[in-house]
Amino acid sequence: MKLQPKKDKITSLQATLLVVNYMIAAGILTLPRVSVEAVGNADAWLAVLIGGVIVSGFGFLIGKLCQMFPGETIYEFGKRILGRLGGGVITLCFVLFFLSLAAYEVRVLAEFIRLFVLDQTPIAVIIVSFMLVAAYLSIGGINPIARICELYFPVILIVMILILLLSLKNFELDNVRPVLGEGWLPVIKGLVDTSLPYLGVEIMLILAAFLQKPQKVLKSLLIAVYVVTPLYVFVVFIAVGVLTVEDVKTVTWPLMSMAMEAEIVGEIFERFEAFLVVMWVMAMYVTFVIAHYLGSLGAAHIAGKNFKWFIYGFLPLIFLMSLYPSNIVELFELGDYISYLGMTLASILPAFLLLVAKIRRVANGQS
Amino acid sequence: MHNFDIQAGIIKAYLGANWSDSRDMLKGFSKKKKLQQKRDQTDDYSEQPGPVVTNQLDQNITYLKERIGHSEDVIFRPFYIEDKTQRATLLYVEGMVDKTVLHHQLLESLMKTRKVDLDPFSQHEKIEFLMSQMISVGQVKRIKCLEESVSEVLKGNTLLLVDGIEAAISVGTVGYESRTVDEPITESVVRGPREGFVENMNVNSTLIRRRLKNPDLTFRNFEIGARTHKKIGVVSIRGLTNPEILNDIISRIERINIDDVPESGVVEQLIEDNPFSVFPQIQNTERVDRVVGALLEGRVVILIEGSPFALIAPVTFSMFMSSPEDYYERWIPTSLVRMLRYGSLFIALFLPSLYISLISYNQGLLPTRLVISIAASREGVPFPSIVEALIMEVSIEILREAGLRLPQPIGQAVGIVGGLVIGQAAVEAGIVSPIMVIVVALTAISSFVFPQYGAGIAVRILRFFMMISAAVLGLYGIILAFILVTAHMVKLKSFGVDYLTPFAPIRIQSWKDLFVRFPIYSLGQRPEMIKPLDKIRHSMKPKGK
Repeated sequence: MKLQPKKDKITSLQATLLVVNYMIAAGILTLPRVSVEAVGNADAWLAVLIGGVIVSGFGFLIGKLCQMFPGETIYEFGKRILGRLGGGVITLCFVLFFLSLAAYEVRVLAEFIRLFVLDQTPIAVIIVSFMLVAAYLSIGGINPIARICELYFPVILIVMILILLLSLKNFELDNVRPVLGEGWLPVIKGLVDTSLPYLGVEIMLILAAFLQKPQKVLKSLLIAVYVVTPLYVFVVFIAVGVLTVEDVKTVTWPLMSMAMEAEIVGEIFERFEAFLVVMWVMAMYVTFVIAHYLGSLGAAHIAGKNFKWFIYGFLPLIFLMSLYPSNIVELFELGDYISYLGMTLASILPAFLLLVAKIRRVANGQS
Repeated sequence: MHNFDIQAGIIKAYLGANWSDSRDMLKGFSKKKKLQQKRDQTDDYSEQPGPVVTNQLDQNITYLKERIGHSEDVIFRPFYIEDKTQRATLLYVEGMVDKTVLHHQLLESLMKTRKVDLDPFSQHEKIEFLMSQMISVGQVKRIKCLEESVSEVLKGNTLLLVDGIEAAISVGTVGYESRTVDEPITESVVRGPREGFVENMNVNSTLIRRRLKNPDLTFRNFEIGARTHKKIGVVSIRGLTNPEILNDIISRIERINIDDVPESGVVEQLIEDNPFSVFPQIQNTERVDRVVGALLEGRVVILIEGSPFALIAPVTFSMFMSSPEDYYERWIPTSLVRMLRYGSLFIALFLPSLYISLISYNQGLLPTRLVISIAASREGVPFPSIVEALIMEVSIEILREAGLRLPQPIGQAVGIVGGLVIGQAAVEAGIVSPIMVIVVALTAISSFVFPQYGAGIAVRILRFFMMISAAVLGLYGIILAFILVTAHMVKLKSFGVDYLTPFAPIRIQSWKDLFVRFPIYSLGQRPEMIKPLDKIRHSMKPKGK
């Protein structure tokens, strides 16, 4: 069943950037708060660092698994390992995960936009306009999506670095001290939650099939994690340094608060958060498009139809799902569940599949 | 060359109409090519459709008179070669031929010839004799088919028909008035060559050839326009241009089936990848140096008879932001100008929409004191900012369009009147705010910065799109509109080349010639995205060390 045209190939750089762009999404704005809440003290950045290392371990499993089945998505090799039914269940899980993630992302975006940019516009208008623009890209398949990652990544990186640099002025080292004042225990306790922002490695289970050089899957996945890790660590470190542990815990969008404090001498760039808004909408867009596309692809595998049917077909579904949480607290709770599901798909599932594949000795002959 | 004949055969079969060899562009190029051409003539003329030239002169003349004799500018000139025994006729279109060549090299040498007896010769020898000894014109061609001879005449060649010979001879006498080569108005430069293309395609190909004395420079000529039979030339460099791209372009040209192409713009619209995109996917230029530069990068150039605009394909978006002058001026000023252009692109695209969103939705994003001063200046303006902006932008567009079509002195007057109305009067009448005038003026000036008119049009259209998005959804609307535009651009391709390279896909090598232009010696590689067969332009070291 060849549902995606096989000529669609992406380079390993594109795969890396797809994963990076997909990771940096809703999480980054709330990351300081989430991590500090999990750890409870200024050592949050340490937990985020270790979280990155742990996720790169998951990445290793995923890479190994994908290398056994070059040119196949998990939708395809899942069936080979676990049989028709098991593979179908895995695909269904992925579709569900991607759809709920897309719905979650677009709702977070809408809440954010309503808070900072458009306070009187109905949330449905924000969501629908965003989804329509996203559908325009996801209908084009993986190649345009990969190219837009390449286009946006420099923008996202530059804005992030600028905000971090400009915040250094308000940075106070005392806020992040003492290091390990309460020992390693809080850090270790927080590890589960600080790994969640790295959610995104799991898309490699599908992207690997599009790689021009399938053997590079592990490398490009690990590079992606290593690009995001220092960025996350700095964001948490500097946010805590600027806002203090107590403040970070209380504000909903710590990174936004940090950007609001940043300024260049003179009044022209007083409002730096506008750039953060622009950057973040772009990042959310890419994440949404990837989730939307990969979810549609999975559904196409189950139904045996062209994925374009599902790109349009899922729009109303995502819309309804995104309106389900009644307020932002519920929304973030829902986000946690989605993250746990994602983490399961990114860690336990590949380990399990790898084990079964080794035992049953199923692998793609051409590797 | 043989390949060419196959191509020619395809297009001829496709058009199904009068087709004739269109190699006369090669006229006067290289001796080697001419020899090759002669060889070709001997083996391809048997396949012409339609009635053939017989050895009865009267029969041929009757047919030709029937075909084109109804028009009075077609001249049949009967005369005798050799002692009033050998009847012959010259056939040409008045005004299309060079009279001097016709009189001196053709009529004179044929009529005043020494006494020669053609009778003992065979058919083949007779023609050979006429062509090799009696016609002292560079280009001659033997023609067997009457339909082909008709189209030869219409091209401006002179047809020689001799009684008793089963072939016609077409003599290259094309010579008609054309505009002189002068400076292109749409793309003027401060420093650089001032030659621009003209309507005469032979002149254009010579202009290219003069700058590119390369044996691998290839002109492939086809005929286009079922009724007008215009010549269209596809220019490339053998061993450099990627054949895949070249063949793609040729096959798209061959697919054209239209009665006439009045301008290269029509061809552009017929072969471009996405007709629904606002972005130009083929570049047009009047500048010879731009064309030569594009050829040397491995791009394909299309010339069309009757149009001073050559087409360049494939293109990327960044090409529209560069001018040939960028390479003539030193690299530091050029780099600054490049950045200025990208800055102007940003202003021309976003400034009015940012104004609208900051005034109507997101005042909080502006510094407080600026908000106060803007609010003060907008006091008394009765319209919302979108209406204000639309009034001004639309009137600027009207002015621009009006000034474009008018003769120059009147155009200037329109500019002055418009400037007064739009500037001072509108503010004094309280219709718009002074800040809006600044915004509109800056936007208009910025949109004139682009070296290419076509790119400017795309930006103008998108500006209105951005303004409406800003009016509906504020800053969020602008971001969404921008995302939509970029999503469209990453999907767009020009002949298989991604439109946004080197931004996406990232080509770091090409960034050396993007926002900044590195010194010439460091630009040793041709742009990767057009997949040239020879990637290395030069391997110079700085300062000739």
